[in-house]
Amino acid sequence: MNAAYGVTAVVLVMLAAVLIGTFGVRLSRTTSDFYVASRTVSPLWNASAIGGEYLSAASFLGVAGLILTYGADMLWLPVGWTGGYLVLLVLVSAPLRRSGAYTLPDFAEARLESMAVRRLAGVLVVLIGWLYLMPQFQSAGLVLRAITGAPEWIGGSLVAVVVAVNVVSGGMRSITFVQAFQYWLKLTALAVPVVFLLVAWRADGAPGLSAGDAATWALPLASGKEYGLYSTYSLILATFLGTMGLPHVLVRFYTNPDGRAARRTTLVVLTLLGVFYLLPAVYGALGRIYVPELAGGDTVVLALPGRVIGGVVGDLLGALVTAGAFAAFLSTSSGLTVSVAGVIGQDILRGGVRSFRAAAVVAVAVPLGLATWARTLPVADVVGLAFAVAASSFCPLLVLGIWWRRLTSAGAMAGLLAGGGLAGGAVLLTIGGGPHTGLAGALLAQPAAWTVPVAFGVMIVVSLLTPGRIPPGVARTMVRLHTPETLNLDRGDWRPRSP
Amino acid sequence: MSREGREAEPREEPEPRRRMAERFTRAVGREGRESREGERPRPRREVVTSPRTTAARHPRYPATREIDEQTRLGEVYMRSLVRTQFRLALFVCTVLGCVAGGLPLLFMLVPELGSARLLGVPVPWALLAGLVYPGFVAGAWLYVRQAERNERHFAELVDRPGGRDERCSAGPVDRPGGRDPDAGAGPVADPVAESGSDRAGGR
Repeated sequence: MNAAYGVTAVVLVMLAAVLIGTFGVRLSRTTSDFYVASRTVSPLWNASAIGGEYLSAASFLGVAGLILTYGADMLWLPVGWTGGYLVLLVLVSAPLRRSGAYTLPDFAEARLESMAVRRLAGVLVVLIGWLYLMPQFQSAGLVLRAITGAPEWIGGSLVAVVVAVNVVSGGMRSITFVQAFQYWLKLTALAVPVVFLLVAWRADGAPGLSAGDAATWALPLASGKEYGLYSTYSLILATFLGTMGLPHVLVRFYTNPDGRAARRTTLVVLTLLGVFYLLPAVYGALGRIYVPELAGGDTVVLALPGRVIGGVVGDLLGALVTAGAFAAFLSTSSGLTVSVAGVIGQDILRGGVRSFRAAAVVAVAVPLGLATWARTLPVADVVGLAFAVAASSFCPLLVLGIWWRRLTSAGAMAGLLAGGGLAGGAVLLTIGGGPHTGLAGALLAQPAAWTVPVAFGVMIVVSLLTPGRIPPGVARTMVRLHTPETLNLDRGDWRPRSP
Repeated sequence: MSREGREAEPREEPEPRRRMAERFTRAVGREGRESREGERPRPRREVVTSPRTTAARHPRYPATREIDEQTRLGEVYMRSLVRTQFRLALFVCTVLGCVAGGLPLLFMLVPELGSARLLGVPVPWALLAGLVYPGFVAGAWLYVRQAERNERHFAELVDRPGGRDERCSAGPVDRPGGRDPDAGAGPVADPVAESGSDRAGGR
């Protein structure tokens, strides 16, 4: 790929993000503006912002890379990342918005009336956030190296700095605009080259897969991976249930005016994601035909336009894809940074805008350090692990908290510790010590299938054993979570601790 | 529900119904003045002393207040809402679970599907890389429609006391949670509690 085009694309995206972010600063004057955009964000903007934030490097680059490497089994990854929103929609979206919680720790506090649970939830948010941020920075480094040959730490640092500046100066309002813009940029950056690629593929006589690939790679559960069925089910469970526990997703729901709008926004998000996720599979399949030697990496999306089309058009399309990739790094990292910084700022520092700014710097610096230190795994795999941790900690907390009155603070603590601890341990072993082999390797690389049931089980059993610790205000909280806002009801006086 | 509504009336007292109703109206009026200081004054509640048949059909005062005061009847309303919504959510999740859980099994048990073609690509690809997404959107759309319908039914059920209510005509209501949590526990709560409809917990 032509380096000049690629670098120009990266610079343009960075500039655009900073400019839109700065423009947003003028609109965010008061503290409440700063945090939640005053809830004046319209549903399509909001849904685009959720989509823009959600579609990370893992979706933009990683899925196609994994499909190219492992074949049909990996199609479940985007399916789960979309289906997760359906689960979120039916189980969580409206009650969560109605709870008035701005962060997951807020929800834990509102529902369980316990500061201990709040703190534990805060720790988990920070851990999941960092686990999610780390591969974003790593991929940024890889992409920049692929274009210019620069050392890997430069790309990650570049993204980290832009994100920190944007979050520190603009807050949520500007981030909403940036994120919405990023969704459409990412969609365009992936969809336009696909049209050209398919035309070129046709003109090429529409070559098919090799006979060997058609017999194994193209079929589910046929690639010879050990414990394929277990891995597939574990992946499905992690992605379907993990989405609701991602810290940066929840923050977005707070910018809906009410529970009904939260539902409708989720419906739009589901549509936007469904459109986007039609594309990575095409890249994966074309990659298997044209550039099978890229298996095992994340660069197939970047390399395809140059290889298949070539010439100036290929270079331009390559630059467009690069721009989309950086949009993905920036948007997801920004969203995660906002939520991690929100938790650090409110629960560890003293709260207020100044704490939020200091927290934003910490929130970016730690995963940046991790990115240079940790073993580089395919980005979608690491993000999948973050989903597994979220599915085994926040999913039971949210689902039981919203629908089950007898959840107690002790039960929630025990469940979060058990599920989050087990899944987190598996993640550490996989990233730090892997790759492991055999059954243990499969259980550690895809922990959700056993950690999610354990988390639910512990939460339920401990709650039933401690009936005395059911929060006293649970009836009022249920009114708050489930009744439509149009009804004039007493919903209690809990408020998220606004900065 | 209407049965409990009737029980809320202190029927065992031999007092004529007319005087009962007057006392009740006074109590409501007093409560309305005392506990909502600083807010828009609400018009006095009117209690229609109607024939028995109508009284049986509608509760004496809005179910929203039953919920606020966490009476047993209020709990019944809340549980019915939560249960309805949960059943709907569970239904969607079950369908989703059958699809997501069944497809890998299907692919394993019927390997011929891999060589079969749908829309020009192998069936697993057509399903997982294409058709499943419109399916999600359709499911989500149906869910949103039904969930909003459930909420509308609930709102109609609890916000329509005795056929006339000032709250309904007062247009958009207060912000959620904008009221004093204990405002509902005015004097009017007492006749209800005396007649056997206990308070089901609360602050």
